[in-house]
Amino acid sequence: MQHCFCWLVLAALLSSRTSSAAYTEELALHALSDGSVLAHFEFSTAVPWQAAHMGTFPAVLLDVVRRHRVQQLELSLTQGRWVWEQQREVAAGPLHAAAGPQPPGLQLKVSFEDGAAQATQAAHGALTQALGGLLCADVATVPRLAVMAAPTVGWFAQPQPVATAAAQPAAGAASHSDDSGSSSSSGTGGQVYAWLAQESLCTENVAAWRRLLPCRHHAGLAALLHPVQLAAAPYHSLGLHLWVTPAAFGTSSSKGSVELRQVLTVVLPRPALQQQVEGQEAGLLASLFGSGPPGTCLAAGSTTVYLAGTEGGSTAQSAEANRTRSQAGIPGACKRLAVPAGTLLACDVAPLAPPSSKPRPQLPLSLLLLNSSGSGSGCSSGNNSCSCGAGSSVSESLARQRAVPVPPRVVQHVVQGGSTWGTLVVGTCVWAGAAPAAAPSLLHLMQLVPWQLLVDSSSVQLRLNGEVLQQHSPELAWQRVDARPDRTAVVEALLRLPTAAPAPAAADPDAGGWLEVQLAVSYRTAFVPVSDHAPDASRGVELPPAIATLLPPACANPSSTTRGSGNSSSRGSGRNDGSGAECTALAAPLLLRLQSSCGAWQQYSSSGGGTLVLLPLPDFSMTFNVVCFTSALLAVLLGGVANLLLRSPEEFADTHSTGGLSFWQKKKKRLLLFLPVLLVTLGLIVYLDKDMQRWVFSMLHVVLPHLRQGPEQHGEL
Amino acid sequence: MIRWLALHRRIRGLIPAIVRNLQGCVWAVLVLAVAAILLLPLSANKCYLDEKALLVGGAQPSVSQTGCLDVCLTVHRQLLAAGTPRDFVSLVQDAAHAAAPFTAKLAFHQHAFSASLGGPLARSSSSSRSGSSFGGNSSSSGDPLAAGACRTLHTVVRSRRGEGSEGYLLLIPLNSSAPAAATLAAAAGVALAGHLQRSSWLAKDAVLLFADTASCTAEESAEAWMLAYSGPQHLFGFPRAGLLQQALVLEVAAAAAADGASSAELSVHGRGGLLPNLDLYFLVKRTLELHTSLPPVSLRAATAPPPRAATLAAAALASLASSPPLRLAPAAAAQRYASELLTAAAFAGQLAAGEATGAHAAFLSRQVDAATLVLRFAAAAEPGGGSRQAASSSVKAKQRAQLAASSTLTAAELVLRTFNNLQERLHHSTSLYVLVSPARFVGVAAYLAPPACLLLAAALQLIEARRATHAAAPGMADPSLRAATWKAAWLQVAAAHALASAAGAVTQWAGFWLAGTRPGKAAAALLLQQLLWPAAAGVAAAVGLPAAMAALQPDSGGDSGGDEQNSEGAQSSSKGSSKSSRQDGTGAIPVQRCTRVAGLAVVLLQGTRLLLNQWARCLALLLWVLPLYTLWPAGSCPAGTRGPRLRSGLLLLPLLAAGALLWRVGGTAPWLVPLVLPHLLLFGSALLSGA
Repeated sequence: MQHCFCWLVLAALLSSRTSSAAYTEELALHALSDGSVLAHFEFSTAVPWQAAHMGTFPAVLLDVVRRHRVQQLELSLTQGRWVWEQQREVAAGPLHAAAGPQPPGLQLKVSFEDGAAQATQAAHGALTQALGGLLCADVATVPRLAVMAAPTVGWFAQPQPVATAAAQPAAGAASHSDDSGSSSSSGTGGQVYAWLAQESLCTENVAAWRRLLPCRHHAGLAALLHPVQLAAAPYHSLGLHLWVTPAAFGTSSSKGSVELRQVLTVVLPRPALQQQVEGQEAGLLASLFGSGPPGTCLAAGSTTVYLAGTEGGSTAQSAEANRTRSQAGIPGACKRLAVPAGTLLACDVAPLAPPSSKPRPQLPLSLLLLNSSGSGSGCSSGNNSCSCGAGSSVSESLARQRAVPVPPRVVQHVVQGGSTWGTLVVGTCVWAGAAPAAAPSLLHLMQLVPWQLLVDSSSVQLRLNGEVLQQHSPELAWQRVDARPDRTAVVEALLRLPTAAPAPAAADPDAGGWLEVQLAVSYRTAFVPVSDHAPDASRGVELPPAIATLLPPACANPSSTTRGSGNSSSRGSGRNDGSGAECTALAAPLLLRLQSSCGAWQQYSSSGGGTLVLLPLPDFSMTFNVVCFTSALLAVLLGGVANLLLRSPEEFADTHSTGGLSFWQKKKKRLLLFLPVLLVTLGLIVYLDKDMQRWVFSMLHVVLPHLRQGPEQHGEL
Repeated sequence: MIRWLALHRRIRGLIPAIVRNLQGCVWAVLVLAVAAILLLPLSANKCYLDEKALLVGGAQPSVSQTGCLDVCLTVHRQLLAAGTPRDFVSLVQDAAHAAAPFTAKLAFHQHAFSASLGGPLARSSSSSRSGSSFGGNSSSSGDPLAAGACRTLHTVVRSRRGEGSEGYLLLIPLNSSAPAAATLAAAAGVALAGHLQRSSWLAKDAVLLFADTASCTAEESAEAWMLAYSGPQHLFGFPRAGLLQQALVLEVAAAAAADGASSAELSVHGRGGLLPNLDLYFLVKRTLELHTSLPPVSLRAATAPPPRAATLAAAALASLASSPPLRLAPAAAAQRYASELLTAAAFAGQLAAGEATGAHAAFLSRQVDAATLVLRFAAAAEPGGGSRQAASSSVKAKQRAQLAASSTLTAAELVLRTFNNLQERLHHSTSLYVLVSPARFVGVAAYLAPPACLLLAAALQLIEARRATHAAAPGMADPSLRAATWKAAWLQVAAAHALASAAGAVTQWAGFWLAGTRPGKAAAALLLQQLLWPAAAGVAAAVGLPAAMAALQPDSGGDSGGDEQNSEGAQSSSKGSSKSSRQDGTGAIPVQRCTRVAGLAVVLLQGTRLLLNQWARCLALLLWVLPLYTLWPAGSCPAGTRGPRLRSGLLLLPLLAAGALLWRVGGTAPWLVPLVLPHLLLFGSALLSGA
């Protein structure tokens, strides 16, 4: 009886899997030249907006989306940095669109349906609370601690706004050239960008993230993830990408479905790989992740592993690779697929047959190693400098030979002029390509500046290859500076890059070259009250990384995708047309993205890390001792000085009394002397201390309900 | 309670006695101030680590386990065996080649600059790579930069898991004219870079900087390099490691002692009296004591040795204190006291002079905590006779090289690892200290006692002057006369202050303009702010505060009961004689009072400015201007009294001292001179006119 029941459950699971097929598991592997391996996991699911049954979609998350009218959401928790040289290697291979870098810490991008500022603020606060509980992360502190703003475009992986601007360059340049930046109406709808550097990625976040998967960590590709291995990796990032697709024409609801993509990108270090190389019998997944092939997740429609192909290697290399591969034996579940950037090997590691019928296929480790030897970009890791204006480099020559995409390199640098002012410089190095394109590429630069640094909006300066771009330069589509006190400042610019770049002097004249775009903005430090300093105030203020979004001409249509963040929607693949309220099967979204990439990139400065800016601050590390001691000393000193200056020596000596004044009259006179000083001191305290202002205003608000609200929290929109 | 009341009554009874003998009290306090200076070493504390996150001693050196020490010795031996003299670049290049399997993927960046200009040359930098291909495009023999130019080579060791937003620096000066020491230092530096690449504890990026000190000093090299590092040029070509938080300058030199004994010396003085956090000093010292076999670290208290007269005076003081008539302390304790007093004087003198004692000054002036550690070894000494190969192959030479390499690598590794543990800047301990010995320091609370005594003496002198003037000028009892005189004098002081500050600001910025510097809009705004500040201060002081003070003054409103005895005689001639009284120099009381009020206004307004983040400039102004205003001369005291003459004589001393100090500081902090000089001139002229 029990045996029959098990078979019934299994049959039910299989039937549910084959009927909905809305959940896919994908893993992309790319061996890097330094021995490390990039592994990108992607778990995709979807559910109709008005569905009663969630299927494989996390019910809690769907409830949050529906309640707060979320249109799009991207959340990433990242530890470590993925260096630019490794990104360049991946970009040269067929898995270039699989994953992109994320900045360290917590990054949250949300777009709400309701674009009103108040509604956005409230919804964002509630959403962060919910996400914090969902991921065991400190997302709830985002409204208070994060660098938070509402920029115009360019920060979602969806490139539609930029593409729209590209389609209408003239209109965009005319309508968006708002450089005063003092207005609060940024016209951004309900978009919020937040970055919290202090939030680190821990194992409990990974555990909470895996709980959102239908098979959790028991089966499927998620079973490969070991928290200890992730924690030891030089870079790992997990994320939630969610968006609402519009409904088809003629349906009752305006929303079609909600799509969710859970991504995890990790760079596995070399030792973990080499230890397993010695045992050649071990399979690929076992060698990389330390455990055997995972059990099949019955809820998954497909479980696929992608490996880069060998098209990049020489003929001899390919022959050798094929020979070795035939010796190793490629499982029958693997097939070779052609993508715009080459060929890749797609292996289905979870066949539909029941797990007990036959052993699951084993992928040999040689597949990955051979592919790495053949499809490697040829960039030695020693070439770690972008050759922007500094002669040729291997990456440049490689790009010339193969016309492979080279990710832009973004550098952020703070030139501190003194303790209270400085200049923030963002440099972007873009490979312009050898052949002139038909249409200019678009580059969107965005830099957020925390409220502790007051941006001088008139000091924004853009340079293209060293030449200053004026307001009406043809290369400058528009720029916007939103610099308000007590708010995160936003500096944005959209540039049309020249079609043919001026070649460096040392390079081949007809070979193209690098374009260097430099954005500089001056700042001065705001007065930061003690209560508004972070707990680790002596560390300085963390500047968020600059974000550069490069959109080549091929991406000018809105259906294209941005590859940098590795999470773009696959609307352009024609998959969603006519889907309506029905949730269609997600046929390997990662594969679709690899096949339809246009070469757009979203890149963060300095491989994602922000920059520290020192603030002049008092030492309040030992609060009790320091404050008590200094306060007592100052009281004695200033009291003595005031006595000395305000009272006569006769009064000191008591040789001349103050005439006929009685004891109480003297006290009253001294009190009258003291009161103005007290009032001035209190006024100064309230003026300087924002927390005190809020407290005073809240108290007054109780007494006088019609009183205007006090100062708002820092970091509000 | 009764006891408290009795004590209170006794104290109140003491005040009149003090006021009656104020002049004696002034002298007593002055003597106390001098005694406090002499007794400073007795209040010294042992150095300690205030920042617990440093974890000094929490890790063992691992340079032997990773093979770093062997690589260093091998490289050192190979470089010595080659024997041919090398220039700076080829020395580092050869060292990197020799250590190539260990220090793979090490990319050096060369920065060339002119020592005279302090800035980069026209072709300032070029990249060169180490490891498998160091050659790259390094400077060739035909390079115009090769002759007479100063160069640095640096590389950044990236942490595997760090974010790259912060880092620390190790500067190793190499002097190719002393090849033995340079070879050892280059070998240690290159091996250490490979060791850091293999270290799993590396959480921040580490910068390894070699400076060519053959044609430039290490300080010039560090200054030029920091200029390039913090500048906006070479965004992509110049490897950076984010915000530099700490730095260590590690010099390897030949042993100074005749017997070739190894030694270690620390320097902390920066330019303009800047000091690193005390924790940084002590962590280096403690690390060396815990993990190396070197003798205790010595302190470089000053660039010049103390004068012979001071040494003799200290010895005499020690012998006097331990001699039979006094027998204040045992001979050893007295000797130690005298030595510490001498060290404290040298340390404080170096601070007052504002001169640096090492290359770390370039980092200190950019808010990077830094110190210079000089390690002297016999292995770094030039061989006196015989071939260099023979010297390098002898057993004794090998032992010496082993000791030198081990000590250098251990010290560098553990100090850098300690830097690595910090999440914030060093902030628990203080940067305000005077080291009286390598292991003991005097904190700010202790060394402020002598100046506090001097200020107290000045305040008592003011009270005494006021009392004497009261007694000598009974005609000033007329309230309206006093108020008018007081107001006029107040206006004079306020206007003088405003004019002096404005003149200082204009002079300061005129200096920049004359030097050819074109300040931007931010600088112009700062100048405007500086000009507006004295104007606002003058207006506020002249309009707002006098009225308030006039209302607050108990004896200026006409209801002063203490003046009743004199008021009858004064009322008859008050209005008629007001003008003559103002002219005959009897307006001393208002002048003094308004002087004090000016002092108070300066305190309050500058204190407010202090709160508004202008703290560095404001603190300097406060320290300079406040004593001057507090010690403002009485101006027109009645002649023939003993007090003014004595007071004028006393006030000349701080004026001369301030002038002398300004003269010394002018060499290292020239921006301060135009700001302070007008105030000093104003004060001097007032003093001379009063006398």
